[in-house]
Amino acid sequence: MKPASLKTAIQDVAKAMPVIERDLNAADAKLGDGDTGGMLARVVLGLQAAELDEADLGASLIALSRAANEATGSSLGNLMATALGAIGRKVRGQAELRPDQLSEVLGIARDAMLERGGADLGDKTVIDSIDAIARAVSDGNVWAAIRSAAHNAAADTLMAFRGKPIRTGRARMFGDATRDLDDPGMLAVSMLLDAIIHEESKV
Amino acid sequence: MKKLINYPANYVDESLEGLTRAHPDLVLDGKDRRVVRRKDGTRKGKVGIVSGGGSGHLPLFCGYVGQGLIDTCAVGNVFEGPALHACLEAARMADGGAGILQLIGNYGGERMNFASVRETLQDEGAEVETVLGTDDIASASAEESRKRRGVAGLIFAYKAAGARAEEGGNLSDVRDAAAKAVARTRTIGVGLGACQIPGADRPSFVLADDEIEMGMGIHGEPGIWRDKLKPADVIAAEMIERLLAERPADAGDKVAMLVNSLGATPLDELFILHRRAASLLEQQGFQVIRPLVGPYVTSMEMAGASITLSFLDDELEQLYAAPAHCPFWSVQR
Repeated sequence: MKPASLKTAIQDVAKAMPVIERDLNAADAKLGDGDTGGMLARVVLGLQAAELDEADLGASLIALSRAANEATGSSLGNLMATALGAIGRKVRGQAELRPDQLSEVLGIARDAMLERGGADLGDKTVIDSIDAIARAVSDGNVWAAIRSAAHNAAADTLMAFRGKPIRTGRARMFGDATRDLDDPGMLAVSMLLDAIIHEESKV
Repeated sequence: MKKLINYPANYVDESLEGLTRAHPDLVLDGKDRRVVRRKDGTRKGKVGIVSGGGSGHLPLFCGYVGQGLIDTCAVGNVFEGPALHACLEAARMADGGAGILQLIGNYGGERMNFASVRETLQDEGAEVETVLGTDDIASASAEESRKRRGVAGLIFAYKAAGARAEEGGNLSDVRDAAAKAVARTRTIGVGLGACQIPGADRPSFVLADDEIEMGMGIHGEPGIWRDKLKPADVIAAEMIERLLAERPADAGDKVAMLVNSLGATPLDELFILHRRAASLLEQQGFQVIRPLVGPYVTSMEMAGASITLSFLDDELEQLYAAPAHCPFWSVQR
């Protein structure tokens, strides 16, 4: 993975953003404000505008982290920025990330998000998706296989948490009503990976 | 839902522009003009108090920038925490060289952003403390009170911390004053009707015409029960009963009370609630000090009210009585 591939992934996501925005807003509306999609759309606009350092993947990820933080003050946006920044600091100075390093850096992102957000694994948040993806890609050596494993892991995690309540943040206040609802953050990860896989399959 | 706006995306910025034009003691600052600060800045040598939060709740949060209250405030989009850079700018602008207290509601975005800000400023050598408002008793059980969210009671924490800072308290003193106000303040709300985020295609929640929700939060968070509308006296009695059931173990016989409109509920109805609430408190041996009645913490056009009780000791009574001034709240000796 190089800065250029980050850029491609962001463009892929941006193309799908109108649909993602609508569907995420609808999912979030069941738990409250109905603005997660709009918030994510602003973040993606910010990511598109960020200047990446073609020679330094770490610096590029840190620039994306900053862009996410500038775009929103929401908890999901902050967690995205935390993850991007944590990985960026880990790979600072590297021109690229090898496939066999992905699981480790996703683990670093997961741990940073847990610390920043105060949630636990199993609370039904975006961090459960990142954790599942980190585990699913641990044996990967080829990017195409990794993309597919990550995509499946995100979808499987979403399914695995259906029937379980959200136990943190504003959504926890909806109690058992959240058992049948997807967490908007988990859903966002799954939809973003859908978008990337869909665009890559056209290449 | 009808709104007097121009374009949804400009809702926050145009509102802030109007607020600061109407009240020139407040100044818009920061890269994106999402920081409200005192025109004269923080007095040198005074502990700076920074807050921050989403829009849609005026006068909270940024309306309480003023003498004896908070010094700066980062402003987010409607019902969304302020962006990290606005929080950092607001905290830096609050710095008078004697340390900074971050006094915010217990919401994920604000908590995370101000945690980042604290780390950054501490790395730069500044002293920073954080106190979270957690007064909404319906937002988590008493056993999990640290998870409760900050609502109208946050203004008592602003008042206590602001007073202590103005009189020259050091950062620990100011933090302790805020923490004491939080520990002794409880709020419960009742929702009568929804609000809608500008640009959204539907209200944040739906209540039938004849329904109310006891314990509803300031973003329409679910409360304790939803049922048919009842007379104001019955609602006031339940709210007071629930608040008193959660009084601190060492509560004395004096309380400060805020009867607050969530936006659409008029003063007439607030006074009807206040009349019953005050009388019930007196019947139970409480003396109500400095009652506040009005729209102090709102949710745009949401209909409903909240009642906040702050259980006073001598220190809090003194801090709440200290002079303070902002566009929406003045205390004079």
